[in-house]
Amino acid sequence: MKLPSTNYAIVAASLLLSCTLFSFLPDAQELKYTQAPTIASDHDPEQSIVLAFRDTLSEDSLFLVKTQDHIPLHYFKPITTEVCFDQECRLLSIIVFWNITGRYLGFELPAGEFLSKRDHEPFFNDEYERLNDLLADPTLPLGEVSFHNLLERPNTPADSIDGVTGATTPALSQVVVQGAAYTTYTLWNIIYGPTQDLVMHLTEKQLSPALMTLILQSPDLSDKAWALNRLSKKTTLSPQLSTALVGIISGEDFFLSYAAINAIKPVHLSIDTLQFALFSIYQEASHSIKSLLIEKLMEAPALHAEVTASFRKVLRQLNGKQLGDVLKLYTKHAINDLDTLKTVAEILKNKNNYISGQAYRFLQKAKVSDPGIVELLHQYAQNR
Amino acid sequence: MGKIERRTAIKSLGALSLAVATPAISKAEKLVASYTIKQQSISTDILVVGGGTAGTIAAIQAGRAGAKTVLVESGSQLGGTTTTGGVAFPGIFHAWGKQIIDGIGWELVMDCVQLNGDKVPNFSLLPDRHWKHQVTVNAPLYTLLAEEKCLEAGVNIRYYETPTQIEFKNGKWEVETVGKGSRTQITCDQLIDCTGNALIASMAGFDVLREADTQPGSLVFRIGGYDYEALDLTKIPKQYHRVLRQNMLERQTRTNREHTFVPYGYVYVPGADSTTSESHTKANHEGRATLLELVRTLRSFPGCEQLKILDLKTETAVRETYRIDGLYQMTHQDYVQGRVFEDSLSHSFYPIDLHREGKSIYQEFLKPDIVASIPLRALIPKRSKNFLVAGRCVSSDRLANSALRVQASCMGMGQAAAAAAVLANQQGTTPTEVPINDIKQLLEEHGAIVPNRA
Repeated sequence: MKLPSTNYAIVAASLLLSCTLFSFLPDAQELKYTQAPTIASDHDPEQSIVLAFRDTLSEDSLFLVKTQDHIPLHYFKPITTEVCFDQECRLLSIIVFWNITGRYLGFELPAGEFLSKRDHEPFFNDEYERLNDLLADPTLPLGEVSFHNLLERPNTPADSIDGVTGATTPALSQVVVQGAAYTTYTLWNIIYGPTQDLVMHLTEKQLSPALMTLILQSPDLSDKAWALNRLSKKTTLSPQLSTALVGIISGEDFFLSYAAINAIKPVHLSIDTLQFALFSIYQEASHSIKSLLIEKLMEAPALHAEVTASFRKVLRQLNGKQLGDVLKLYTKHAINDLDTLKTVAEILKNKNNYISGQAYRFLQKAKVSDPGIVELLHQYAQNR
Repeated sequence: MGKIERRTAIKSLGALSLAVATPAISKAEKLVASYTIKQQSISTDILVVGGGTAGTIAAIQAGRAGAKTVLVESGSQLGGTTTTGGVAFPGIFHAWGKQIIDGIGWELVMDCVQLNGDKVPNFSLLPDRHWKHQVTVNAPLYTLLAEEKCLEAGVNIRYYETPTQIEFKNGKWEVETVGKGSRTQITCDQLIDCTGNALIASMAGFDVLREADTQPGSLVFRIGGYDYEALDLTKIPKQYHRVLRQNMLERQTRTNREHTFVPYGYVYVPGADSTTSESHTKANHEGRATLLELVRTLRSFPGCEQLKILDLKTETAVRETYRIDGLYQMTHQDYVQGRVFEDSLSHSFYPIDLHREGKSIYQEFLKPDIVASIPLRALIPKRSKNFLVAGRCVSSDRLANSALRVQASCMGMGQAAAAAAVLANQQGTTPTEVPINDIKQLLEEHGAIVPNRA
């Protein structure tokens, strides 16, 4: 991930949330719209720790909310800007929230504050909800165009929220709140702009196996993918993290299984229990996940003897492609014990040439000396 | 030694060297027998005609299931549209957060992704554009892996051959093919027409259908040598902006940040038809001429003076020609409603996607949780025995066909057709007589996803 060219500094530590203008207090009459949080927490807001980071590029501060036991929950940023329409302006305060993975969490308007459309007409509830949904969609094409290109008839170069009148193009009218194109555009670009990268960077610096495990339990798939992409060879695979990974691999979501398998590094495969777990998953996995699991086990420093034995027990039930994969795994790890070779030799009797041929080629390369196997190989060659 | 003498001496040495070497070379020369056409007869369980998207998968499936398999391909490599045609981003294998096409086709795609060090898109996130779930593959690598998998499965690949005659005799198909220096009589128990054009079905006398107006083909290319961002587009006619933008790799970067790009552009070839040498030659001529004219025009624009073609695919890829008149014709409504049949063997998930006269595309997206499925009967021509098709010539109306024709769906059909053919061969019958659950079970054993099977 590329970090924005901005410097930040911790300007304050342990600010009490109740001291800020951006209140989380339950008795405040704020308007708040949110998405599912990465980490669900029933912590007491008054007991939260709030850290502030100054973004020296934008001169705005970004705040991180943590639990008392230092689990990061989310970030927020207060934004104050002018909203103008036909030269009449008013100040708008809004707070934008990010999950610790950089995913949009929500927005809040302090008590008495509201968003407005043309002529400063306030948003209705369904328009707030529509805005909340739009802001949660990172694939909207709002980052690819300048605001003036959103409009069919740009009238004014004003830069304040909804200070520009003009009809939005038909395609883009689908991705903005009607009458509030600039508000949608601006907020979306704040959410997916440099601050998002800063949020991710700050979380990456705090990533521990425990935090990664928590993120992997997020109800949001992109959060899980985010964490999986950041699992490195330096990450200690704690039992909890290992369990979380195995749970994802054995789940129904192909992409997450794929990402979780890819996340495992060779050094992690020195853990026997992980190898056993991968074998257990293999037996129930889909065709393509089976192949990925074998490829992953090929990266192991060594294949555990019990895993070898487990594969040996299922060898004859595999289809030709799977058999070929496992035999490649054996070759990679130089598995050539007599029990394994005898089991493979039995496969020479299979009437399916694709299957028996793979056993034949494996045994030929293994240069076996066992007389029984040599005889089976001889018979196979004669009957081909 | 004077200059003249010295020159003479060198000349003499050269002549001597030549005299020493020449007899040896001339002795290596010999008269060879005149070019003759090698005639031979071979027999096989399964014959697959066409080594494109569906045929490659069908042949691998047949071979892996233990059937003696011959694959006849008129070109020089496997993969068809994905490789020779250059549409190297097959899809769609996932729908609504779930995988819907697995098996041999997906295996081939994933092997390409893994061996090329690529990543797949996040299929769990619903894309704003359907093509974001297509998977970019390295086409040359796909060619190599497809061939390797065929050979590993024991498939006898016969490149540069094309059928000229076909006859159903004594419960077997006899197919005569001609190729470079070969004329071969292939006798098979089951035949799978994967030509995409229903060519073999037509030769065998089964009814085939064609629209009065077919979708255009595409000749795929890549251009470079200019900086799109630096172009003054106000000085370039609007109709050329797309082609210039499309070929900028940066513009093709997928926004989910987890995938590679799709570097390609294409020119339409109206009425492109790959059924015969003449029609395909015509399609290639027209595509190449259009592209040449385009390149000359583009180079006349400011900033494009150094524009050049970086890649051009071997032949014009074809979208639509002939379809069989099958035991069941899949309809537009079947497709968009996600109808599942008793004999559905594979899925399809692509929008209705009809390229109209090269000017616009009619698209209709499937509603949430809808996934189409393809019944075995749509792969079997009426009145046929021991005969199947797979690929875009599937029995379907025009709108359904505009979605079914894409690569992932064709791969699924290829595997399904081969499973039916293998079992029909084993049971000494015709595919319609094979218990449908036997076919479904075989498909699942080989990794395919069968509709409505828990």
